[in-house]
Amino acid sequence: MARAFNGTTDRLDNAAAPVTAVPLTLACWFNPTAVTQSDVLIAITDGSSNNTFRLEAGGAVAGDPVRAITRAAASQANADTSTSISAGSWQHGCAVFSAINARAAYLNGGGKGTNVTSRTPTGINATSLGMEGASFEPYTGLIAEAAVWDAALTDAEVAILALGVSPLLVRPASLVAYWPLIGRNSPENDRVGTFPLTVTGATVADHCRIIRPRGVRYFAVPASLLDKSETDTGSGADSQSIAASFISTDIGSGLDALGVSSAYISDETGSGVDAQGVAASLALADVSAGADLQSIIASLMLSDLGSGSDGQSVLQLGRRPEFVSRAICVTMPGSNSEEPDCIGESVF
Amino acid sequence: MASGNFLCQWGAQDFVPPASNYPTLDSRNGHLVLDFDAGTDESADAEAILPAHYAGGGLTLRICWMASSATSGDVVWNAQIERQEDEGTDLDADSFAAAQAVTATAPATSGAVQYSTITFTSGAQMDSLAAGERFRLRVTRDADNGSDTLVGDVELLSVALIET
Repeated sequence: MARAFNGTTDRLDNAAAPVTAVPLTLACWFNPTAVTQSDVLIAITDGSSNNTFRLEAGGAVAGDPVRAITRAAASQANADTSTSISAGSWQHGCAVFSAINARAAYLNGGGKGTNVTSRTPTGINATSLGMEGASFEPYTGLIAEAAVWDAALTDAEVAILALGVSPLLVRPASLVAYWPLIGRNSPENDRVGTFPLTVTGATVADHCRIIRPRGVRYFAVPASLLDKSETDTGSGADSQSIAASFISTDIGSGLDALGVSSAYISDETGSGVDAQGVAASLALADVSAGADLQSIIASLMLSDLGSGSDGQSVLQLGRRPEFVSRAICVTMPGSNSEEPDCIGESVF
Repeated sequence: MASGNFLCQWGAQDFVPPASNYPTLDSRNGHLVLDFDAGTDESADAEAILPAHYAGGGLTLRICWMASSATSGDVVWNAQIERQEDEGTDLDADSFAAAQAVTATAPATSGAVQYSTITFTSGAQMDSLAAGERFRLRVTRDADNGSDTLVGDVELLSVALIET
């Protein structure tokens, strides 16, 4: 959900400011009811409107632009977009204040307008959405996903925001305040800072389209998928793509224990490729010619006499005499490349 | 025995809205939900890789949802799968398999969760998706279906994909 403002008394505010000087960026999604007057979307002010950084919907200005306004001692400088706001639809507004003499306004990631008049606001100590102070330029319409950065976002970053990407994903290290404005909490939560917004009247409305940080949760493989083989003499491919496998004696030439989360081979004399693509593997005696223990997170090979390329692309590799977090190799008679391509620690 | 194994799960925050006709984010007692309107079909997409331990038995989608306020009436949920196989599907266009559906009744108590399932048989219904392949899942409220009689929004909490 979003917040709806009635254009008279509704506002969200905090008696502190997440940023007080340039560089800074203000951005939000807004859906104005009409485009006939100039309305405040986000303002960082001194509480009096004499000193302010403001993102404004400029409906009273020719061309109905989004405006990036710097006001100092009641003297104002504006950057206006070359494109126009429209009523009744969600659109993205952004004001970038990169220096005291450089500001830019964006509508939907484009229409960039700039201004280079020098203005230095002072005494900045308050934040408001939908209005400046208690009565200045009240906004009529919806606002969502409001955010403040203590940096000047680039043109490309502003364009990303306008695609609907959450502010959490755009230069997060500089994001000093983020109010999704879901509309169910009062005060409205600041998800990254300490500037919750006191709600005065603004009601709940349908949210804009937003792409949030997301993921998928995978479930662990159940025990029923474990595989055990006491003696593997076959040449066939064994124990592949499963959670765990155990081969007591492997003399087969086939591919074994591939794509598993853990593998254990007690006595491996087979020439086949073994224990690849696993999270962890243990081979007590490897005399095989096959390439072993590749692309795994951790491995232990107690005796490696094989000629195959072993222990490659691992994060941890341990060799005799004991399993440790670093690799210890006493003898490596094998003729192939043994050193891992990528290893956390290794001692030879 | 792979039947019944949970494969993956998405919450309301894990869905990507399409360019238009998407459900909107909302919060209900702190639970993040996606609000699907009545009257107009709305969809949301989730992405994952089908886990390697999927054994080919088909898929069951379990949808956890609530009604915003209704305590009667039915909602029609659709689900579709888009396979993204190696050097195959062109992602510049959507390529979902035909929708599979369930008609489910609102819980009698407002705020109670309802669990509804949609099944995909192995093969064309799941776009022939195979273990290890990336895919998209689209969940839609078929709001303009004559069988969708639930008044007001329905709220999606989460969905889980299970091997049938």
